[in-house]
Amino acid sequence: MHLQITPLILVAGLAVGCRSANTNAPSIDATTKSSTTPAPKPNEPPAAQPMAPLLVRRATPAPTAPTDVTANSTRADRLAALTKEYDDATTAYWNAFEKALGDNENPSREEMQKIRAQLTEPDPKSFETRARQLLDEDASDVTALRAIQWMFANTSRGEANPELVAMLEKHHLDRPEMGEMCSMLGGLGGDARGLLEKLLARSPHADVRGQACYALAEALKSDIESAEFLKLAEPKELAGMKESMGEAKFAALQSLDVAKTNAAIEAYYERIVNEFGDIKVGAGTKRETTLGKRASAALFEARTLAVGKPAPEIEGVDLDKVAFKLSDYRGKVVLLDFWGNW
Amino acid sequence: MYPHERSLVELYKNEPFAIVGINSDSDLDALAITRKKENITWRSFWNGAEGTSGPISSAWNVHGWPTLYILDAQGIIRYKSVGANEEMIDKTLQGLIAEMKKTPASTTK
Repeated sequence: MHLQITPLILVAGLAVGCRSANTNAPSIDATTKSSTTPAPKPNEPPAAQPMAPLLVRRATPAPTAPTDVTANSTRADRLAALTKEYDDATTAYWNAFEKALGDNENPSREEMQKIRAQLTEPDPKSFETRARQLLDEDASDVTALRAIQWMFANTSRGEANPELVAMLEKHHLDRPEMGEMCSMLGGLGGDARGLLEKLLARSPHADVRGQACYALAEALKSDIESAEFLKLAEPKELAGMKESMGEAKFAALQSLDVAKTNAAIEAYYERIVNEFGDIKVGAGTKRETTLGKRASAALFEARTLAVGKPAPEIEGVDLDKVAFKLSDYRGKVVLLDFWGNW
Repeated sequence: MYPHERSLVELYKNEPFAIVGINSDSDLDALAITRKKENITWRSFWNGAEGTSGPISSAWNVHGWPTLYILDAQGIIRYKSVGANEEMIDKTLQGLIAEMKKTPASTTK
């Protein structure tokens, strides 16, 4: 497929499916390296792995400006300047990379490494230092929140820095802006999960609590996928994954109680249907819906479309407009593939 | 995905196995060219003119493409994933087809 990909986090061969098309969050997500470019651009070259690119449809609204601009315009300006500089440098890098690839649509790992060696990738650390400077001056204003949000999206490499999480907990727990961070926090794991639970328990804003609840459900779903992958992975894949995610997380996934986790996921979804059903997500986009609708669909999937359950019937027409049914294939092992060639 | 799926069709051509797609392209004419070029011989449902918002993908709560399910011969879901991990797919299919061979395949009415 020739897809615009939102890249996967490739944890030594594990693709943690980026499945959260769930909030009206800006396209700042732990699994992408680009922060404010709304149009998804492949910012990982095609992986030389046996992994098909994953297209996730999600709303990508423009980045929101800090709300207390007049009081902190210098700080806000500095953050905007630094993020723009990072974006420009990253875009330039990937343009150069693609140019070097030329017509090569399936580069080998060696070829990619060779190109990487010739180019200078922008160093996230130097940008992170500048963002941290803003936090050292003041960790409590909206610019500080935006700086942390930016770092999580661009320089975190999938791990939520505990110091930054602590700052969010100390200064920003009550802010409405936390709602748009929930999806990303769900993808970061570790201390970020604890923060989501606190948001669910204590945010004064219903939509933030709802987003946190949804993000927690999605994060647990991702855990199950990872745990299932671990069961079938080769020993050297496992070693690589252990190194990337750390021993604690690895051990937790290996001993994950899938049934208990599924029960917890359902409980979160039920809670959303009951308490946060009307919270709108994806507002102003084609995929505008409510958390309630998303959670109901997810509950249906969890209960009806789970491994071990009979697949629902599909009755439809094929690509030549001829009618047929999924049950026509009873008696055969079926690979059911939701695909597209856009 | 196409090369992998073509290889599965070839590998299991004498086994009780089928790929069934649910395609979410809205432009069937453009797709016809791809079907020919990529030698897509397996059957696909069409998700309709609304593309990725169509009825089948909505009913199955699909939000990421590709989403894959593997069903055994009794129609039970045995594997699901968002994104295609070829190794996992291969292993799962291998196991299920071997399983079928141990117990005689029963045609369910």
